Amino acid sequence: MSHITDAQQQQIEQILQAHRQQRGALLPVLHAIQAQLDYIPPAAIPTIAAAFQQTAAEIHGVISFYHQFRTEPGGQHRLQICCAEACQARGSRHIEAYAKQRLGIDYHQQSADGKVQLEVVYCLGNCATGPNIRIDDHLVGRVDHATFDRALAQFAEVEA
Amino acid sequence: MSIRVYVPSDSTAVSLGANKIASALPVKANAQGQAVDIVRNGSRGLFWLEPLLEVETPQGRVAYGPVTLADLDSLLKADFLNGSQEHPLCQGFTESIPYLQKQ
Repeated sequence: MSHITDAQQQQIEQILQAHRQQRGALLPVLHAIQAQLDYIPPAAIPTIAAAFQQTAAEIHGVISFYHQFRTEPGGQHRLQICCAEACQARGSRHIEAYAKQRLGIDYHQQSADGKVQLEVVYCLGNCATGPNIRIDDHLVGRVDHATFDRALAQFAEVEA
Repeated sequence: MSIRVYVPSDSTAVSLGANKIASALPVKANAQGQAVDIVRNGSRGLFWLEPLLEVETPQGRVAYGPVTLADLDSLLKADFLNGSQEHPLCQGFTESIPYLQKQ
């Protein structure tokens, strides 16, 4: 089990306290923890489970079901490549191959400098102008190799 | 008098560089002595033409798309701010685009 610092434990308890009166608060709590700590430490699961009167397995089930949640620190920037049907039809697999080669990593991995975490996503809702990628909160459409490089430089400060 | 140019601000147009165009166009136009008033509107839904810029003229709005940052110089050179329809990206009067006309 991963280590959890006293400061992290305190932040988690504050988040749980802030959502105490809210119905269906598990997802908001998990989002808040990840927003504050950058990830959800597995060592925090028993605390979360106790607050919701659920088992650790149930909490783990929720965290692992949603790919947006991560249980270890991520890269500074999250790069998502859309591989849903419309984007695949418009060439997202080529962008995927280019991204993996360009960053030297596979999905769910971080680039060597820790700047970029590569993820796959299934639909960003911008189907008419795919292939699409997203860097943090920046959506980029009609991506080819040149736009990919430009977006990476602009939003993740990774130069070619 | 400044020329009014509509640059969509919806997610799709922004994902295709509309924000950069909206910031760069007044600067480039100013350098040529032309004042531009940018209005951020919603998309007309013709996503294959986004970013779809519309220039207001006395005869109606003239549409240009899909415009990228790299096209701005040639658009200015073609006098698109006065509604010139010579540039290859010109789609004519917005109201006359067949997809919109049929609706």
